[in-house]
Amino acid sequence: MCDKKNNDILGMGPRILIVEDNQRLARLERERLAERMPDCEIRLAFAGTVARAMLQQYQWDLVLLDLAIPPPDGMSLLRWMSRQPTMPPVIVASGCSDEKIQQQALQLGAKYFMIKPYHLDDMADNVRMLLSVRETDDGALDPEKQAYLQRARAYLLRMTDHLEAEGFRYVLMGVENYYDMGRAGISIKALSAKAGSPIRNGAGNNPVEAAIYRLIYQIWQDDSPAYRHLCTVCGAVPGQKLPVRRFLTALGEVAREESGQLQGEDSACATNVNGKTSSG
Amino acid sequence: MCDERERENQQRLKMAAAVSCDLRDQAAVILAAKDSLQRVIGEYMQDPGQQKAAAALQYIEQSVHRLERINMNLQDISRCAAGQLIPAWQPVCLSEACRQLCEQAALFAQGQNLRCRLPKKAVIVPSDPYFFDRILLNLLTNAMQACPEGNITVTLKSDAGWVLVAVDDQGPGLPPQRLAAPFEPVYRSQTSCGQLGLYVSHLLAEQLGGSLQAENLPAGGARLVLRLPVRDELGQQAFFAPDAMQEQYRQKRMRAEFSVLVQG
Repeated sequence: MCDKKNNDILGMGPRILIVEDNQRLARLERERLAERMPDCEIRLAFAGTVARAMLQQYQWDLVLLDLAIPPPDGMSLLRWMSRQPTMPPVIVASGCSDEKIQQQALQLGAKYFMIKPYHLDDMADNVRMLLSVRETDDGALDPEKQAYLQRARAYLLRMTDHLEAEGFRYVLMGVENYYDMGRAGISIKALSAKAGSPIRNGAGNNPVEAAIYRLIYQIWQDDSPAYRHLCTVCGAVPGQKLPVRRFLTALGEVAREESGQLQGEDSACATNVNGKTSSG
Repeated sequence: MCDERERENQQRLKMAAAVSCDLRDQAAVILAAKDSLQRVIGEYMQDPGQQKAAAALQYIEQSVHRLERINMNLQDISRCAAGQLIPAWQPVCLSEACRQLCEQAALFAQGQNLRCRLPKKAVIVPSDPYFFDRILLNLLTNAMQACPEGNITVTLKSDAGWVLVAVDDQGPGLPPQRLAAPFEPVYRSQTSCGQLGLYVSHLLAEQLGGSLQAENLPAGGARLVLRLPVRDELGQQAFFAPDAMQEQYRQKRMRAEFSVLVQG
């Protein structure tokens, strides 16, 4: 991608390019993103050639990319983007459920693969999460911390999928007893146990997962700064039900705020979590 | 000759994949339009006069999931016909898979009571988690459709070199004409979803080297039994944990499978 790009015609807010040949879907997506993130500048491209020209001409903070588009197709476009000096975060949105295609897209640098059909709010949550990663590029965090945060957020997205697949729809703030909440709810305590279980079993014993577990564990302590911060980010009060995806998106934002501390503790976490998970 | 058949198969598979993608694209528009409409009229939906509109929106979403279910079944059938539906063999803990799937199915239960009977020792066999999920989800959906009220019991047990997974329901049982060929697809508008599902399960069970059998229980209700071979060489390995992508797809499958239970 060219180093110098013309951004004059685009606003100052985050810039999102939706590459989707189904014009109705593209417009509905733009509408919902604009509602959820009014400061965003959203442009549409209905074909690969147009998308490539727009990618060359302007700098984008996020690309929502369909694979089955008029040539060059989405995968070729992704491959082309991956060869450029800088690549914006890409969410692939496709009707293709072939695992090989999904793996290929992720290997080419896509951050997330959404299988159609999906709810607009789920798409907007994922966009928001990735944009909040992008914001850190502009400012204070060094590349190492940015890389750490990207891994943390990818882990949170995976955790969201797991929880939703298990039927959990919301997280109940500030309530300890899992059994009080019906089958679709999960408490922060239970969430903490779920986040910690792969670490305790040794299967997911890596510093990023350990740090997220540690953060959730801190949030479980109602009076901790992390808990108060999370409540502020979500606008939540104790006892409130928060959709799982929204809770974990907010957790990503808290992780960003605390990234310095979290990253600094990576090595400590990695050694602590196997035996002494409750010490956090 | 072989090459020609291979080419034809590849052609058919490409066609099926393209059709599936197109269907999902259209389903995505329908779901997105429904989301937008819901957003617009959302605040009025609690009014008694707007309940019909709320129900109509719910039907749209359920229908999208049903389309997805048909789409997945047709894809599996075409892959199977082309000889491309090959299990990715790996050790799968059937006890854990049965427990998880029953718990998830219970979330969609309305009048049914789901029970899961597992042996004390974990049963781990070489299998394909995707195949096993699809089969058991289809069997559970079928049982929950046939038995809107009553017990549905999943029993896992070992039997001389085989593992049996039985799904019993307390519904009316299979009619005699279906007992003769229980897994053949029958194209009738209202129930074709479930029957296509059983046909796919039958194909998947065969791919796993096992079989699917159906019988009526003496006390009433039907029993569908999945028989899978046990091979010892992989038996002691750990349970395969599905990755995020598989989880995402599984979540869609869950929604699609059980959408048929919520009668519109």
